[in-house]
Amino acid sequence: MSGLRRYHAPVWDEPVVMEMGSPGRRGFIPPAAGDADTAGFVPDSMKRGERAGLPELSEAEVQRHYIHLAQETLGMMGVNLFGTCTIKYSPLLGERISADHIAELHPGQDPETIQGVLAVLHGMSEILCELSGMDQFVFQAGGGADAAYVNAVTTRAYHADRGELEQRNEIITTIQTHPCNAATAAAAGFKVVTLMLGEDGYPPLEALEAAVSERTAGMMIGNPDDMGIYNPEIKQWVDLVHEAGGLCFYDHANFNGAMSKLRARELGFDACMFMLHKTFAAPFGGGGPAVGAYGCSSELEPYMPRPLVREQGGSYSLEDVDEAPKSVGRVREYWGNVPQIVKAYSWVRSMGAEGIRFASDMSVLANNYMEKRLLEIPGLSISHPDIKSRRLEMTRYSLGKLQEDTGVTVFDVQNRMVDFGVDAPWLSHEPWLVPEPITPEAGETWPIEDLDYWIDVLAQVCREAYEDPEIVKTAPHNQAIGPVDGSRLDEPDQWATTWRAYKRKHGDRPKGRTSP
Amino acid sequence: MAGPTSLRRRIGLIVNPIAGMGGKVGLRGTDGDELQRRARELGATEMAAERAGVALDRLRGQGFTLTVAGGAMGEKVAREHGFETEVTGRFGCHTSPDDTRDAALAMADSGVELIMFAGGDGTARVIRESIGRRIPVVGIPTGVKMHSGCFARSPAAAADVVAEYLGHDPGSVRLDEAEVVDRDADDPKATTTLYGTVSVPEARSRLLAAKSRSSGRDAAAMRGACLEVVEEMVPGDTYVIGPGSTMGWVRRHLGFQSDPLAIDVVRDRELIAGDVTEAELDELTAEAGRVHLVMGVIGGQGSLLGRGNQQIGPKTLERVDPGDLIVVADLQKLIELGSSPLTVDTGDTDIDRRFTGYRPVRIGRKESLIYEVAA
Ligand SMILES: Cc1ncc(COP(=O)(O)O)c(C=O)c1O
Repeated sequence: MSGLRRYHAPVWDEPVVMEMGSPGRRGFIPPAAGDADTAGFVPDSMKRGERAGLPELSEAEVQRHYIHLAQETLGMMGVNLFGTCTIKYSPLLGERISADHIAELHPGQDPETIQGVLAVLHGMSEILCELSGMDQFVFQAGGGADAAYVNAVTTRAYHADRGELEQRNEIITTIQTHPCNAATAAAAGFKVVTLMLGEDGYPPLEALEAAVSERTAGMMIGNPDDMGIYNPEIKQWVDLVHEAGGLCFYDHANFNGAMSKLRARELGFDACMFMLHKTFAAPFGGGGPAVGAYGCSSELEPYMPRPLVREQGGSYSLEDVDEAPKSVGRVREYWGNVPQIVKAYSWVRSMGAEGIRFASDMSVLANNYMEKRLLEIPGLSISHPDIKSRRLEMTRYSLGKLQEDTGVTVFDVQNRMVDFGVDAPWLSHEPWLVPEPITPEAGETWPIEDLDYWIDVLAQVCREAYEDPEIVKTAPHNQAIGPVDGSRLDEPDQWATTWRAYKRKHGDRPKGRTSP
Repeated sequence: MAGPTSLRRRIGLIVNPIAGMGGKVGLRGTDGDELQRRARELGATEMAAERAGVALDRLRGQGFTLTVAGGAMGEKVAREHGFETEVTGRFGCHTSPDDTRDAALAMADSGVELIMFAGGDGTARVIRESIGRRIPVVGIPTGVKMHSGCFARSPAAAADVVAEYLGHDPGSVRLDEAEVVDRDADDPKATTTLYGTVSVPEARSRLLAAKSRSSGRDAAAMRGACLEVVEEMVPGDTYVIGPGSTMGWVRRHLGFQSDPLAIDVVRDRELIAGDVTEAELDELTAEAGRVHLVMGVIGGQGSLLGRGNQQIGPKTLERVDPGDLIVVADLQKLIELGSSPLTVDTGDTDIDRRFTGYRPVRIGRKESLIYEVAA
């Protein structure tokens, strides 16, 4: 074997917290309320009939339990080149600033007392306006998909205000644009018209021409798309949609390869979104907290969510829903995940314009460096091998040949890669356009040694697939758990996401002694 | 995993020994004695057994009983690959479609759960005629023509479908309908004809995504898309409902069923003529006001309109505004066309031209995909 690390994850067989502990055990016992009058404090209608079925454990047990679980996550701590996600290192400084300065604030405070954080929100909006050419940003959305939803409802409000909503009920997207765009358009009540890719790796202009009509409410697309392919005809696209009377939204979540190189507004887009938990180095994973920053032109500003931070003569205030009658209102409580905004702000300020440009170049360079080495691996090929232009910050590959030759699937490859201490790679959103897809994204923060190690791991796993496929098919071997049988994953009688549902479906499990 | 024989799962294997012989020598198929003779003369070898062997190797150790057709139709290759088998029927080296038909029937009658077969569209047709949808089948791609929906991508993938099937309790595997289509091997311009449907195990993961096979989720999408078509039907307008399994959903939503090959005419959500001929359809549409065509996409070739559904003739097509051609197709089926366009080939280039270009295809409720249609 090459110089790969000898790795093994801790194995704990950690039980579910509900199966641990013992009646009466406590972590912290608060002083009794004494003779304070609590009558009527909780309305009768809200009182429980029975005590809640909570786990009963000591503080140390709880700590240990969660440390064990953290060690059993199969990743998000190793080299993680998870494509379409732009995994970057999140500097600890941002963590400290938000812990030390933000945790104690409350958005309900008088704005006079929180001028600093309002200045940060305002500043972040200005920076994103500079990067995109838009006129105003809002940070309420709790993630990228949520920001796409903000666009769908803003588009809806815009057409409704002009009396055209009934007629304009279609949103155009492309098959390699992140599926949250189609999903949120549908959630907002639109029909979804999707364009298939053409020979160049992006849809032909004629397909768009066939799609636009008086029914077009807007277009929601990413560029580069999830394959890392940039559509150079984008300006004509925007023009076509505008001529038909639709609005154009740029899903800028995959901004790394394009940041500082182009501005959405200059390409004609009316709105765009950035993900602060991706491109702007706020922590990512575990389902949040995240921030989808939504920005739009001054024409759409009346419709976008409120509250917005306004500045006048160096003092900041909040413009709320009641001051913006056409606004779609709130899509979430307060102003969004402020600690994340502060982390992103501290990152972007420390990078500066030069740093942003350099990071963008590095992410494209790193991806193309990886491409050269990856294409030497037998069994692996690139999507759209004939197109001449280079991919930007990520590339879609296929392990279809490996699967044909050996029976080893890309899921098996994922499972085996984690045996070497790297995180499972991202495959592709649905639908799969190439067989057995895999989509690494290098980003700018991983040192070249990490990229090489990741490539070495993939090369090793592919070699094993040809020489000893069983090793790969039965992986993981060095992880916290073995392979999981996912074949009945969509059967509701099998799975439970809460303890109560588990007991209902499977009956009580005997409570054993579980403390190691 | 070994247990008493009676409790073991039983899987059938039928090899059409001459399938695929034509390909290497430039013939488009080996249907019929004449083409077979020519193939042999041109030096074709029997590759079906070899491909079946690849699938069998991959299924070793799965703990099932293999029931094979005798001789060259399965028994021989199973032996060579170390399988102990049950044999139905004895077949010599000169085999015929009747032998395939008999073997499939005998297997279905004797309680075999699923039949693997090595062959092409011709073999699939014969098996469909013989057992219909009684038990599921999985095609090991071998023939020259493999446009039917029951084929896996490769012999290895066919084995994987069977292995996955065996991983579930008998009876708990969800089944899908797959179209059986074929083209005339002698005619290079021939379009695909739909012969009916067979039953296949539902593809659980993309690994198993055989050519043009829908998974359960896609079936829901098709159901939804067809419901929308029915909901949008304009009172008084005439709707010609095309053939195929997807169109079965339109019929079910309207409250009737018909043969997968039939073309039906609907007005005000009522069936006004079932299983029409070209002449009947021409007559009906001549008197009708606005005529809409509701079509699925036939087979792995992306055939939309053509001589495969001859009942929809030039006279009717002339009366249809291209914007009133409603196409419903499974997204996966379109993806597996590998970016080649849907085709119209009615035999009349002027009519063909009217229907070409980029057109919406309904891929779900409120969802469409813009896809190229070419002549
Ligand atoms: C291009 C693109 N758009 C939208 C999203 C959705 O973002 P989120 O996961 O924050 O909802 C992603 C997620 O990675 C993405 O890559």
